[in-house]
Amino acid sequence: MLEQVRIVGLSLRIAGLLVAAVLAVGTVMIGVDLVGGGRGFDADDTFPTALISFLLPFAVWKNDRPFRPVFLWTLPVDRRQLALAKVFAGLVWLTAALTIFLAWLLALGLLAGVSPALTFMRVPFGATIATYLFGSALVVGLRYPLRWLLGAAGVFFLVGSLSQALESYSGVQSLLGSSDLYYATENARNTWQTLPGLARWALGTFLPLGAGLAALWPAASRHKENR
Amino acid sequence: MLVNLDPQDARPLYLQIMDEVRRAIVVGTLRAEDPLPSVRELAGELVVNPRTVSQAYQELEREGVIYVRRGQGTFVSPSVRRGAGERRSLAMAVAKRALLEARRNGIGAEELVTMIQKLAAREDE
Amino acid sequence: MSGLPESFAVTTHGLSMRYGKQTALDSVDLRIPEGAVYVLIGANGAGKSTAMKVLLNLEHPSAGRAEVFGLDTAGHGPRVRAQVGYMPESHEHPYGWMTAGRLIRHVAAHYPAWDHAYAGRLIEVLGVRVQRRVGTLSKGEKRRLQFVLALAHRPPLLLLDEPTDGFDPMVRNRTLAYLAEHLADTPTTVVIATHHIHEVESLADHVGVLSAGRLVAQMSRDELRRTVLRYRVEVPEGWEAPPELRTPGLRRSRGGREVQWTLIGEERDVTARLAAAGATVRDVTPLALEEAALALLAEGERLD
Repeated sequence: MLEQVRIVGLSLRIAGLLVAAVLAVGTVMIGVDLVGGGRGFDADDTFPTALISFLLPFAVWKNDRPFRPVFLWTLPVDRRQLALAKVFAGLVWLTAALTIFLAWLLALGLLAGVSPALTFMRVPFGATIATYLFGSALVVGLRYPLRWLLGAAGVFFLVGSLSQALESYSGVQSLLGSSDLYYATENARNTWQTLPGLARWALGTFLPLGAGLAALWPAASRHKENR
Repeated sequence: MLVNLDPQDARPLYLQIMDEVRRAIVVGTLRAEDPLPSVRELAGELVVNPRTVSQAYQELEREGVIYVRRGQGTFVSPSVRRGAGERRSLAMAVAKRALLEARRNGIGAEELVTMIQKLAAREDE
Repeated sequence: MSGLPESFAVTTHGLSMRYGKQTALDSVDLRIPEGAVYVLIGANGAGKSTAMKVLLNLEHPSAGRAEVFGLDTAGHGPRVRAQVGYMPESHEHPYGWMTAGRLIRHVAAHYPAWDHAYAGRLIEVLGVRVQRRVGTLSKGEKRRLQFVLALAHRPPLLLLDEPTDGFDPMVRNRTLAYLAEHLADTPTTVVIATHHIHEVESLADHVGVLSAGRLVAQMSRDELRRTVLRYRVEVPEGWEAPPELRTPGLRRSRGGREVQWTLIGEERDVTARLAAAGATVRDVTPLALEEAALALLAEGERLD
C-alpha cells in the first residue's frame, strides 16, 4: 500500500542521508583522484550493495518487530498483506537508491571514459534485490533472525575449518576430487562461462530474484490470519 | 440544575437522576418549560453512560414530568407546578433514609418522629 | 430484567493464555453486552491486557476462542480490527520519530470511517501538539494522542487499556467526560481495563473481575448493587461465624457483639442465612464500586 511506502521512506530518512553522505565523500575522493591524473575507479571495483541490502530489512523492521504485538498489527489489514506491503515499500526505496547509485556511477564513468554498458553490468541489481528479499524473509519469517544468522555463520565457520583440516589429508582430497558432485558443479560452471553475456546477466538477475520471492512468501505467510 | 450522584446510594443511577430532576422542580430551580441539559451534556458532566441518562429522561417523560420538543431538546412539562406528587415522592425518599439511619442507631420510628417535631418547633422560634 | 436475550459485542469461550509456566488467562468466558460500558477489573498482570490483545488477534490464545460482533477474532482479524478502537497500555509508540500529525494521518489512512473534524477537535481540547515528534511528547500527551486515535474513527467497540494511566490528574476526569460525550454521539460498546476503579464509578454499568487469569465475577452494576452489600449485624456473646459466612474483611467490634462485613448474595437470602446463624441484621449498605470489586476478588480467591 502506498501509505506503507511513504512511512517506510520516512523511517529510512537517516539511512538515506548516510548513503548520500557516502556518495558525496566518494565523489570528492574520486574527483581528487581524477584531477591528480589517476583513473578514478578501476573496472574491477566491486560494491557491497548486496551486503547493505541484506541488512536493510533489519532497519526497515526495527520499530515493528514482526513477532511481537506491535502497533503495525493493530491496523485493520490482513497481516500477511501488510508484511508484504512493508517489504515491497522497502524495495521501492532500495530500487530508488540503486538507481541513483547507478546514475552516479554512470556520471563518474563517463567522466573517466568507461562505457555506460559496462557500468550498468557492474551494478548487481539482481543480487542486491535478492539479498534484500532474503533478508526480509529472515526478519519476517523468523522469530529470532539474529540467532539463526549467527547459527548459520557458526555452521559455515565450522564446515570451513573442518574442510580445511580435511583437505590437508591428500587421501580425502582425491576422494573429493572424484565425486560426482564435483563434476556436476564443474559442468555447471563451464556452462555458465559459455553463456552469452546478456543471458548470463538475465539468469544471474532473475534466478536470485525468484529464489528471494520464494523465500519471502512462506515467511510472510507465517503471519496470515485466516486459520 | 445541579445533579449530584451518590455512589453509596442503593438506587440505580437512572433513578437517582430522576429524583434529582424532581428535586430541582420541587425546590423551584427548574420551572415549567425550562430546558433540561441534553443527554450528551449531562452524561459528560456526571461521567455517566448516556444510556443511563436517556433511561432517566424516558421514564420522566413517561410520567409526564418532562417532554421532548422536536429538534429543540427536553423541557419541563408545563403542567408541572411544584406539584404535590413530586413533593410527596421526595418526602418519602427523605423519610426512608431518615428511618434507616435511625434504625441503624437503634432509634425507633416514634422516637424519631417526636424528635423531628421538637427540632422543627425549635427552628420556628 | 426484561428476559430478552441481549446481543453481545464480545464473547469468549474458554479463553486461555499461557506463557510458559505463567497463566495469563484461565478459561475465561467474557460476555460483554452491546452498548455497555464494561469495566475489567484486576491487579496488574491479571490478564486484562492479554484479553484485549486476543480480541484484536494480536496474540493467539493457548485455548478457547473469542468473538467480536459475531466474528471469530482469529479468522477475521482485519474485519474485527476495523471495528475496534484500541488504546494500548503502553505509551511508547514505535514511530516516535514521526510527528503526531503525521501519525494521525497514517492511522487515518487505514480507516474509511475516520472523522477528521472530530479528531481535530479532540486534539485541540486535549492539548496535543501535532507538530512535535511523537517521541518528544510528554507521557500524558502520548496517551491523549492514543486516546484520540482510538476514538476518531467512531468504532462500535472501544478497548481502552488503563485509559487514565499516565494522565495528569486534572485531565483524567475530563477525558472520561469526553468519553461519555463520545458515547452520546456514537453508539459504542466500551471495555475499560483499569485498576483505578473509583474513576469509573459512575461510568461503568457492567463489571468483570479477573484474578490470576480467572474471571471470578461478571455482572451488571444493578446486580452488583443488589448482591454485594455490607451487613452490620448484632450477635450474641461468643458468636462464631459459620464457615460459609467467614469471608475476609470481617470486622468485629471489641465487645464482640457487633460484626460487620461484606457478603455476596441476594439480600433476602443473606439475611435469612444470617438469621439462621443467630445474627440480627442492623443495617445493610451498598458499596462503592472499588470496595465491591475487592470483595468479589476476595471471594474469588477464597473459592479456589
